[in-house]
Amino acid sequence: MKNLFAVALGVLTAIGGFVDIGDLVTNAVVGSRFGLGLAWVVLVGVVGICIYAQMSGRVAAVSGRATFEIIRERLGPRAGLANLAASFLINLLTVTAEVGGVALALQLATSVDPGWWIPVAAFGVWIVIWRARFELLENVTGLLGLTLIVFAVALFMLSPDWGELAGQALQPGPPADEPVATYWFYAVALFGAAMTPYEVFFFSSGAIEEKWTEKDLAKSRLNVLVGFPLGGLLSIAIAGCAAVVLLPAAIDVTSLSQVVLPVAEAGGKIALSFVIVGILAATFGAALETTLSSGYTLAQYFGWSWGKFRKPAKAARFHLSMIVCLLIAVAILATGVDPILVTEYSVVFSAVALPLTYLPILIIANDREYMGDRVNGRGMNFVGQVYLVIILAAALAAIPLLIITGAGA
Amino acid sequence: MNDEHDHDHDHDHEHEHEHDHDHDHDGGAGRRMPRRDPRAPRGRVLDAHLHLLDRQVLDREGVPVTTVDDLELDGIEPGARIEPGSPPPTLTAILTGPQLLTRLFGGHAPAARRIAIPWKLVSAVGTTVRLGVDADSLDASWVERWVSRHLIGRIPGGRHDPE
Amino acid sequence: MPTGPAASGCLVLAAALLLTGCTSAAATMEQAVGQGVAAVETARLVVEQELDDRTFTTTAKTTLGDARRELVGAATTVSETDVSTETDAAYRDEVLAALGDGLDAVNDARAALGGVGSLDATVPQLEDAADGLEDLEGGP
Repeated sequence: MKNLFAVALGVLTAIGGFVDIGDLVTNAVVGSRFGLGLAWVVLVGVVGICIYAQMSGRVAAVSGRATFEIIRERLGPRAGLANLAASFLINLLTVTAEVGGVALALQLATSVDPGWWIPVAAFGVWIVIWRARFELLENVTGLLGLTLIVFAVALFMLSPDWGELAGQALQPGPPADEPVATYWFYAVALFGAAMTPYEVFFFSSGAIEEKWTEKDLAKSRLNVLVGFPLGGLLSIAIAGCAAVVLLPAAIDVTSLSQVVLPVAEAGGKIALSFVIVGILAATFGAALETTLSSGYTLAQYFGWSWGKFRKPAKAARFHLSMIVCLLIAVAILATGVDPILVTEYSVVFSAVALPLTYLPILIIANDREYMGDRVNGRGMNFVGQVYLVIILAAALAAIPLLIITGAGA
Repeated sequence: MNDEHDHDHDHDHEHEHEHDHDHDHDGGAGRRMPRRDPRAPRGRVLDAHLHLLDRQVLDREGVPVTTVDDLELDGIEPGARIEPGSPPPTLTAILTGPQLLTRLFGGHAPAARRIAIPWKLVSAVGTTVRLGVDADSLDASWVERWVSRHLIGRIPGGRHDPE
Repeated sequence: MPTGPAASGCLVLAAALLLTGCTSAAATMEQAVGQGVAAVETARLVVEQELDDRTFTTTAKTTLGDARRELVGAATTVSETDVSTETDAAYRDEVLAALGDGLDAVNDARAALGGVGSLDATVPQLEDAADGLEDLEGGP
């Protein structure tokens, strides 16, 4: 019974933890422009993040080593530093987007300008990292984030033309009124939103924080293999809601307030309160994860003491670097830049940075010095390499598409 | 490049039983790994580049101290040709701090600014380098101690366990 | 080696400048019209939700604020567009007027949420503004 509870908890946390500001915004934008025409990308992304998270979790549990320690050992200091710089900066962009997302969600609830909420959100993130235990923060934000299921409920309540939605999903390809490049630009963005690298830094470092052994791997596999696909379904429901309500009204999503419009349309104030709580929890949880990830990557490259299981004074540079990251995020948002815009760029650049961490993990998962006989099997390597090709293609196409389409305008 | 290790045995630092494997007394040969660890390399000598550089250094309690940014060798002159048959160089210290910059960008750091962890403090080499002493006793962790004492330790709650 | 990324960075920048510089005035304005339609339709939807008591006033106020920002952005883009033909110039004036109507309607709705004027009255106003903008969607 206790075991069943632990499993359920893990799965639920993975569902709630899958969705962040990048998924919320990108799926709504895509739904409002292409209907479910890009739902296949979410599926590709979900399978990818399952493989990636599973491999990095296994590497962390078997070798006891976190991602960036290994990246530096294997790539050497120079290539390792270039990798760190790119991954760290993109992660910082994601921290900024998530903190901005918390502020926007608070604005929806209060109509107070997000400028006032940004410092509050950043302080909240810091105090939780400073004081709360790892499992606690993971479980609370994950479970509250589960209220986002209201998107799926709302989709049913809107009683859409299911045949039409299925038609959009099963006939992928750019619609007549949108350029081909724009379609592929959003495909890359959606892929980047589903496979953000921070999820993996967080997942593998979390495995070490929680002192996983090989025995915990089965549990993690279940969490990932059940939780992430359900999170992916949630993402498709977000796009579906936008496709039903916003697409016919010619509303291209440019703000978080438009993301929740279909939910209020379907379920009124009750549904709206669920969705606001869900967005708040999802963005706050992701803000915690990304902030921790920025500390993890730096500390692991330089060999500093790190981890939430230590007293802050026993991992001083780790905590200092996270404080600095949050201050930078607040400074970026204080310029008045639209957090939705930051989010859109962060998901595209996530796709660009993905090979930098994916490839080393794939190599280490085959390295007997670290993995003993728990190296990748033949099937896993085949899928891993197929995804390497997809990830490389998305990374190489991302910036040219960004420029050609003027960021999807 | 194969390095052999200068074993300045300091058994005061040996507290864990399995570390007894680590000290061979046959001179010249490398460190042997604890037999039960399947991930340990089988060879008896270590490739400094593959097995030491950029590895995580942990202290006696398993607290990360630094990364092996560079190594200090005794018995060879930098740049000089190594004659065949000359005695193998010995490892004298793990270098850190400014040493990372010289490895990234080349050049030499002045000897006075080097932060060294004497090799005699090393108790085991696996996928990480273990030391037999506490991190706080090392020069290499002064930045961590400074940040801890002057910044992080001063924020309320900084010295408490997370709740 | 270091020249590689720098050179490709310059190329990317040059390409970006070319692409943004080459977009025609009519296309820029058409895009602004689309942005305006989306904003006015959003406002109409949220006002109807507010009248049905399906949304929180705070959320409605935020949504209208976002719609207003979009309209202001679209109007700024259009007024900063250089036109080179008579047709484009006439189109620009029409678009600016339609975006202005949309902005007025959204502002009235926000005021009504604050207790100034009637919210019911803003629905037809928003519908008219949306129609006006939709008429301009095909370009000059």
